[in-house]
Amino acid sequence: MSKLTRRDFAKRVGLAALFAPFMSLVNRAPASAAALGKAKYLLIFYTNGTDPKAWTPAGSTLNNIVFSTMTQTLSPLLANLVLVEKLSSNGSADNHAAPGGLTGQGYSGQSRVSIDQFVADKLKAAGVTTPIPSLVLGSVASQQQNSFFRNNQPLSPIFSPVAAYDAIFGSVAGVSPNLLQRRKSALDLVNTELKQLSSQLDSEGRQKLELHADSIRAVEGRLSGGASGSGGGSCASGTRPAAATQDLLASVTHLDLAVTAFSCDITRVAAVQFGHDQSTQVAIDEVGNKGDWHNDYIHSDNPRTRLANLERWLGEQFVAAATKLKALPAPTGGGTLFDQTLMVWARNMGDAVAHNGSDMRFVFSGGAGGYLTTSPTGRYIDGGGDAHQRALCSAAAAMGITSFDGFGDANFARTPLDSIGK
Amino acid sequence: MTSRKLGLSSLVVLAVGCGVDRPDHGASAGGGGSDAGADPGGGELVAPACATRGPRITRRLSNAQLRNTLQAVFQDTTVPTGDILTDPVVLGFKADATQATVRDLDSQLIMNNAEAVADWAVTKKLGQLTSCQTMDATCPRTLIQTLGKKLYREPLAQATVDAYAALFSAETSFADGTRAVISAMLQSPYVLYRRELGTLGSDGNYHLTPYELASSLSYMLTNGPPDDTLMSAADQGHLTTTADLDREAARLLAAPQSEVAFGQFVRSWLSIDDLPTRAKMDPSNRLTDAVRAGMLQETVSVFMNVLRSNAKVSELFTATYTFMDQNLASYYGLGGASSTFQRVELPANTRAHGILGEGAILTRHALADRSSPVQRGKLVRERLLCEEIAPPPPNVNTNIPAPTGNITTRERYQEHSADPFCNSCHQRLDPVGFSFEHFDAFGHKRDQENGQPIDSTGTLAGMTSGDVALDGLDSLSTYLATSQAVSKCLVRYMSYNAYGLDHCSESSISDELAKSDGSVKSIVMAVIHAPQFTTRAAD
Repeated sequence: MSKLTRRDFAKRVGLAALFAPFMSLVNRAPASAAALGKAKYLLIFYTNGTDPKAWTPAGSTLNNIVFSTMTQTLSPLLANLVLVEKLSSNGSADNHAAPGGLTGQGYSGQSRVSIDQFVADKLKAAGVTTPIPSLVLGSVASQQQNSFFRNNQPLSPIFSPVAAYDAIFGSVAGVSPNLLQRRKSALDLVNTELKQLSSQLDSEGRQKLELHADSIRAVEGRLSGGASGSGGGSCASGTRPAAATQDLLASVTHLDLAVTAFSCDITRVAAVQFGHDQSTQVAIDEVGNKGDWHNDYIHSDNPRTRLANLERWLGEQFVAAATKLKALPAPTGGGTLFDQTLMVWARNMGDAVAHNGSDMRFVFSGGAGGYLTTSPTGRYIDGGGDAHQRALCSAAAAMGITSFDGFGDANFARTPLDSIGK
Repeated sequence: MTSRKLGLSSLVVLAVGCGVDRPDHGASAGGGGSDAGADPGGGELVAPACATRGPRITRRLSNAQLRNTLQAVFQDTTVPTGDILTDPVVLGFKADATQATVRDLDSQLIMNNAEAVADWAVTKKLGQLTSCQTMDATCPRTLIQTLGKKLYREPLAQATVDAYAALFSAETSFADGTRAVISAMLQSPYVLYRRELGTLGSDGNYHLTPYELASSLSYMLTNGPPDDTLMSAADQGHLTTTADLDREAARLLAAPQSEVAFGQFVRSWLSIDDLPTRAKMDPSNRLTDAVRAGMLQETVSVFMNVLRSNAKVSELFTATYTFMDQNLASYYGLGGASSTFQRVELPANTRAHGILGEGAILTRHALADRSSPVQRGKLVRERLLCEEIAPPPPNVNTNIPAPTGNITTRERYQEHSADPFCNSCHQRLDPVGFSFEHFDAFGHKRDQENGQPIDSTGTLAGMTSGDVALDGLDSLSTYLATSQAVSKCLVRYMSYNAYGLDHCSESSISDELAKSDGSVKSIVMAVIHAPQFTTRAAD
């Protein structure tokens, strides 16, 4: 046999390479565009709402954080930490499954797009192309999804860390010419068949298959290397994860995968959802007695000891992601990944106990390329009832976006928060 | 084509005073990231109108259906599968025809798995797939036609065979040719989607082809691809009449695979699918993984028995038997079971009759360590009566008072609902859930809680006949057994699960059921006999 087959190739590099990244084996091509804004990477950490009374860092001032019990575990990030609260969703995040947390638009919104997708589109439009424009990971597979949106359509995160790993690091580079040709030929045939089917459908049926065709084009782009990141160095993908035993632990793995994807410059935007507003089963020793985040921790415990413990555990995961970012060089240069990343902890509701979004809260961290205004003793911003979509706009602004048309609710301010960044 | 969004307009909104800006039933789609290719394009995917029959559509297989298809085609459960397709949850089911898509990173995962299957098949199954391995003009085409028909669930068009033959001939060995063909086929939209396109008939409607009907029957009744018998019937033109459909449906319903399909339906319908992963505070540590699995099997077995024995819908609620093995019987504190699952007659006064008295329902619809009248009432309203319970409006006190002294669950919830505002909604929930109070959060019967006697009286308010007084779970089950609303609700969910579209062919199904024996099976057959099953509207 004269051609190197995929199987032969797999034997040479090990079976894991069938699903493993080849980024560690090759130098990445130079970037098509380095960046748009000060921050090069946006990492969204998305959770349920909480109990404001227990979360609020009472006594904090603009340049000094006084941690509450819930927020205490964020203290390792103090010098790069901004806590924001008292922002209003203006009704868009007032209840279960309300879609406003990341979109600024409520149930009746007609053009919902979550901030991660909005930013990814803007980056692409500006020529900042990476193999994967954005990652949406986590949540709970058994539940209806209402957090991430694109074209007013809710998106399902990738629930399985194994699937996420395969999608992110699926073998797209360094493959044999024979396999590359085989893949391209197969995709050509798939495209032909999609057109055949589309011709028999009405416009809405065709629209669904057009999403499929877009997805194929994304693979073709990765195969052709036309969407290379701005790496230039090497990165390690780690090992393919095992199946998770519970959803929150899966999200921990997802968070790690997102950071690794950044380190390979595979994407610039990633969002990881921890839990779901309707059902999140928690069996974590540090949290306490097992139960459902919503029914047992938010509505049945008083005082909310387990909710506080869970918030502290979430804070630890947020810090762990920051720690990993600090340990990795930024593929774009300019220090560590942490230096170039904006981390945002956002929520689907403000006060989950009362089911309202009139007091939305955020945690900002990361070096963000210098975008965030920081203080050695942390910063605390009282939003004063401003629209919470301004915090989301701040995330976009850090990534270099200056026009927020098409995002959020046009009836409310769509500008970055005052005094958060520069 | 007119279309509508699955949303508030299609729902029964219950309570005055519960009104808030409401969620729609538009669902999640796709897998986890934006596409890297062209512009975002497109817009919101909305469900088509389907009063009598809907438009021609393609329906993406669910992840389970893809797995079942691969296992059936290769006749091997070790074929590589995994979390390849992301299934949107709509109305509690992973069956939506509109929202299930291939988008974003899905194609990458599909390609990964297709190549893994191709490598596996060439290594393990080549001898099974073909009787020859020569690079001549015939052998590869035979492989392509044989395997392709199974995966596509219809014969391949000549042009398609030619296209695969070209892929094959670009390789230098039979193994690599096979590898190329399999990896391409498994990415084909003809494999990933069920077609419901049909051919234009003289009546102006599109009539599904025999092969499309074979797939519709098979995925509805077994959650897998057509078997050889069904494909043979399609080949021979024996899948065109109602009698043909009835014959094949009867055969498939009797097959073991139908329990796979209806088991998933039951778990979704009753919202018990996630019982295995529910976080429970079980001080006895007796709620093991095996017990949870047994509870699910119990409920599915009772449903299958009612279905296959042509029993009426009412028997789901009044059955004085169940199915258990020794492990589950021991958990319940009952005897009479063996090491394998078998039918067991319930001793008198040991538990409530029917599915509502089963562990899966009682354990899943409860808190981690306590019963929940709210969740149990919500189950009855939403899953059995198809009513919609609005979420609590913002800024209401949702705290359930902490347990104090010897207070019972009922007393805690009565305190919670004392607020007239809360009670405007909870009057439809809690008094229904109170009738379950003889059963704790683990499915065990109890006569006391915290030393206090159980009071399981309640009310099922707002029925067409007025408010229904309840005294224990059997009284609720007795009412539901004869409720037309329950049968109608079961029709809605069963037809949605089959069609992937809500409220399709309702009047036709209703007309047929009015003349039926009221059995669960009659609902299944009415769904199959309805216009939406066999025809599509002209564009």
